[in-house]
Formats: sequence, C-alpha cells, structure tokens
Amino acid sequence: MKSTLKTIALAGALAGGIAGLASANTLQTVHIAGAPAYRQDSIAVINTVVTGFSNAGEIASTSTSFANASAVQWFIPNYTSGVDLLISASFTGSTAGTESVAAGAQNSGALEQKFIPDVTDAAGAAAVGNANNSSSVTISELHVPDFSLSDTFVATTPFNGTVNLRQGSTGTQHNTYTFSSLSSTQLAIEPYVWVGTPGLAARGVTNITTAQAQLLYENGKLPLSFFTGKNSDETSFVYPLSRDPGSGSRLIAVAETGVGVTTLIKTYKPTVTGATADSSGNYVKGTISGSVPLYPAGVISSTQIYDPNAGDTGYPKFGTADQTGLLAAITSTPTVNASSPSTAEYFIGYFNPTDASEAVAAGSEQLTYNGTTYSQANLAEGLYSFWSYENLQALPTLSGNQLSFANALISAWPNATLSSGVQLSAVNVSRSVDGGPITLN
Amino acid sequence: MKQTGIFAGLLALLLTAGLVRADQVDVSKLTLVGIAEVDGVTYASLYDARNGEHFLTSSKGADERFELVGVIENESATIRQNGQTYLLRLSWPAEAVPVEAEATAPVAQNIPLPGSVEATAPKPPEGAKLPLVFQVGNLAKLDLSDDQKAAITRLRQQFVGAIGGGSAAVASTAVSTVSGQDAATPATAAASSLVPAAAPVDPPYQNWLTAQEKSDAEFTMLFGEQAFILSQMGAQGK
Repeated sequence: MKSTLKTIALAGALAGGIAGLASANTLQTVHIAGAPAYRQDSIAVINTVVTGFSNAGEIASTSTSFANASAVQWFIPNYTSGVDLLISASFTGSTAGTESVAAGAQNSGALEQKFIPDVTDAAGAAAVGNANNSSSVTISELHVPDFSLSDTFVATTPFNGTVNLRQGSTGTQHNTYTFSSLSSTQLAIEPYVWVGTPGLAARGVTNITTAQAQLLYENGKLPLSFFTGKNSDETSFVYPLSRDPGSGSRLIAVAETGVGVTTLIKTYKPTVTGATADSSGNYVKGTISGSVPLYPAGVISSTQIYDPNAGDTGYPKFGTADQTGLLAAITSTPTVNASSPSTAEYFIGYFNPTDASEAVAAGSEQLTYNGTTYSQANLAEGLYSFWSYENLQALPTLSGNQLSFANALISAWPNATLSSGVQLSAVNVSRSVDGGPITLN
Repeated sequence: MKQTGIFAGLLALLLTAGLVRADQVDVSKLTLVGIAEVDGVTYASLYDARNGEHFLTSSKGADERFELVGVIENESATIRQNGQTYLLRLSWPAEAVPVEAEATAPVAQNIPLPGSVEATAPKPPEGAKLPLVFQVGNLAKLDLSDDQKAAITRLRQQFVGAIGGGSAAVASTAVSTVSGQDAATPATAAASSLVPAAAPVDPPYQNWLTAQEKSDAEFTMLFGEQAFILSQMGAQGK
C-alpha cells in the first residue's frame, strides 16, 4: 500500500511540474475574414477586446505595423475555463469573406481563405509580448472563416442562393455552390474618398462627380478635358484604378456611382518603378512609365473566381512591399510630356480615409466628391454619400467561443475610437441598399 | 423516408404503376416537382407540362436515358442526359440549365431561376406601381449576361416574397434582402447580437411601397444606368 501511495504522489508531482511549463488548456481558434478597407478599425477593436484579458495580445502580423497589416494573430490564455483562444484575422477582401463564410466547406473547402498558419498553444503563449510583425509572415493556411467583416450587404454580392462559379487558372471549370444565408449585424460606417495621382490639382482637377466616375469606370480612360473643360486637355487622359472583385470597396464604388455591381468595368495597371517603402512597409512614390495596360484577366485570388475580362479585374491589395500595389500606382509620378499639345496620364482610385491619408502623405491628392469634402459631419447629415455599413456576417449556426468572441466585438464596437470608420450613433442618416437612397433617421 | 413537395402521393402512384420510360424525353423541358429518399435510394420526380406526363428517375437509374447525379434536399436535382448535365430547381415551372455548357460564361453565373415576368408579376394595389424589375420584359429577349438575368429573377422573387401574398410576415421580409438577413435599418443596426431584429408590421399598401422602394434601389445598385435602359426596353415590349 505504501508503494502505491508513493507512486501516486510522484505522478502528481510530475504532473504539477509539466503544468508549470505548459498550459493544460485546450486551444480553440477564431478565424475572421473580410474587409481590407476596414482593417485598421477592425484590428483596433479586436486588439481592444483581446487585451482586456490577462496576458493576452497580438503575436504575429504580415506587416511591420500590425495596426495596418492585412493579416494578424492574437492569443488569449484562459479565454474561458480550460480554453485558450487563438484569434486569426485575414483581410483579403470583404466580398471574398462573405463568399467564404456563406460557402462553408463545400466542394472540399474550395472557397476557404488563407490565414497566417495557426500556432500551437505553447507557441501562442510564448509570442505574447514578442510578436513577429514582418512582411516575411505570410498567409498560407486555408480555413473556413467563422465570420467576416464586410463592407457590403450580402445582397450586393453575387453569393446568394445557388451560383455557378467560373474557376480554374483558365476559367474552364464551372462549379456550383449553394451559399447559405448569413446573419448580419451593423457595426459602423465606412466612408470612402477619391484620390488622384500627383499633379492632378495642378491641372485643375480637385473634384469628381458621380457622372464622371460612372463614365470613367465604364469606359476606361477619359480625356482630362472631361474634368477641366479645357480644349488643351483633350490629349491628356485620366485612367481609373480599382480593387478586384473580391473587394467590398469596389462593390460600393460601382454601386455609389451608378455603374452597377453586375456591370463590367475597365480599369488599369500602370507600370511602376522606383517605389520605396513608407513607414507602414508599403511601397510608394515611384514613377509610371510606358503604355497603360488594362488590368489583366485572371483568377481573383481572394474569391477563387476566374474573371475573363481584362480591366474588370483589379488590384488584390491596397498596399504591397513591391512595385505592384494599388498604393504604389496612385502615389507614383505619372508620365507627362510638356511638348505642345501637352500629354499626360493621370490616375484616380477610391480608398478609405486612413489609406487615403497614407497615399496623400506620399504625394497623392484627395478629391472632393460632387463638390463635397469628406468629413464626418458632411456624412452624418447626408451631404456626403460615398459610404457603406460595416457588417459582421456569420452563419446563424455560429456557436461556442467563436460566437462569444463575435458578440464581444459587437459589444465593443460602439465604444471604440475609430480611425477610418464612423460610429452609427454619430450619423443621422441611413440607407437600406448599398449606393441606394439616403434617408434622414 | 424523406419526401419533399407534392412528391409523396406521386411517388406511391409511380411505384405502383412502374417506372415510366424516359426515352425521347428532353430533360431541359421538364420541371422538378419532388425529391425523396426510399431505402437509401434517391428519387426525383419530373413533370412535362407540355403533355402532362410524369417521370421518375433515381440514383440507381440503370435503365433510364437520363441519370440522377445528385440532389440538394428541398432545393434541386442534377440530371445528366446524353452527356449533358442539367440543374433543375424544385417546383419551378419552366427551363433547366446546362451546367457546363457556357463557353463565354460571366464571372459569377447564377443558375437562372425559371418563370416569366408575365406569369409572376403581382398586381399592385391601387395607386402603387410595379417595381422596375418587373418592367424589363421577357428576360430571354434581353441582351444580358446569365448572372444579370439571374439577379433579375432573384430580385423578382425577393419582391414577391416581400409582399408575401398577404402573409403576416410581409413587412419583415420587405426590409430584408434575398438572404433575409441583412441588417437594413437603424433598428436592426442596434441589435446587440448576431440575430437581427424584426421590422414592425405595416399595412399592406405601405408594405408594397416599402418593398417597391427597396426593390428599385437594389435594381439600380445591380444594374446602374442599365436599369433605366432595361425598364425602357420593357416598356417598349422588347
């Protein structure tokens, strides 16, 4: 009997020692997909909720500045009794997030999103306070998101009911998916602003109207004279830049301007050289040269849908650590020939206010929209109309700690200090359709 | 045994009478009216509105000219005939859609839901107008991509569902999208959990106007300036 008791005591001591080295908790994960345009505020609110827990914090991101990264991970020890929580957000696109959540694991998870690889419980705990924030951190692990942060209503996306998607590297595969209905909760409002390449103001362009934006995105390039009314500007051109169809910002832009979300658009991908990294690690301030090609047709990486129409595609990301990003294009010096008649090529795109500030800091020029400067006050009273709701979208079956964390975000949002977004409580107008009529509350 | 639609009685009848041969039948002209599972075998019941004949196909299906590839319960059946695959949606009365035939398919091609405007457009109450989406005429005659046609069909269904045929749920669907889930008003925006709040019930006339305004706004959101052109084409009978 004594021997047995000793054995038990020894086993207990060993177990205690092991517990002191590593958590005995179960690790659960929350995968969040969605909106790049709202990523800064989303990251801030998630971080606020996470850091409300003891010994919790951010552990990895794809940028030197995690607050502006496209993918971030956090770790919360003891989120609930016996459970540690790994939060992994990957903001590849609002529309893509809606697609992935609504599709679930259909067709062997063909519409999953890529995240920073999940870490083990011990690695997560060790990384708190020692985060790996670097462009060398990549998104490579596929998961069905638990919920998405979306710039648009679900009805604005193509992902309603049974849909046949054109897929594959050459678009020859036609795969049928049935998208589930999603529960949606409005979190805040996301404004957007128009931004032009350096030099537009000097040519007299400081504003864009709805009609000009509509023509620009439907027709492709427009003569500069369409913006200035000057005969001498007929030989200079303005080209539209756009995010790809996985982006909610893009859907809002084409809804707001009356182009229509099902209408093909023509946008471009100028060649940029000489751009260098800004303080966020995004390349800016290069030089545009050569002819200006339509953005090539191909697979939209975030949605896994093949778009056969050159120009209707667009940039997959806002900022990149190379010459190919949207930020690099909009901040680069355009080609200008001073000979008579002068010719020049300028570019216009749409951004959230935070991204626009980053672009303006690198030399781009923010435009007014229909003569109105973006401000929270102008938006709040219905004068400024280029905005959408930010929504948290999930399957109605979301449960457990994933639902708990989603509801924690929903509760935290109204009290958050937003950098790009606007609180619902600060706005006196509403709309029920993206780009639709605005009514006074 | 799981049964769907009017299939319960029909299945019993067909099982008693034996399978109707499907030779010379054009699947694309058939309507899917029922799906059922009996002893591990899935059955789909098909109806030819042109001559009133019913057909039954199953997941065994060895002696039939068309093959039941798969079903989505309460929703659709995929049927192959002579190497061509068709998706038929449950209870809809017209066409089937070749799933793999579109060489120039658009980016996101919805499966067009059958049904003509003329057959399904509801009659507006006195003083009210039909939504724009019902004024675009016959979809088959319009130069639209398949996903645009599907969006029109979806919007029509959404409006018909929103006015609800006098159901008590009219108002709550009137402010919802096809998913029935988008938070569309400040009232739903104030929800503190993922379950959106229901909108208050309005009188029928107001329901129509609310649903029409939302439908017209979504129509414009989807088609932009084409919305006006489409409605004009419809008015001219094109």
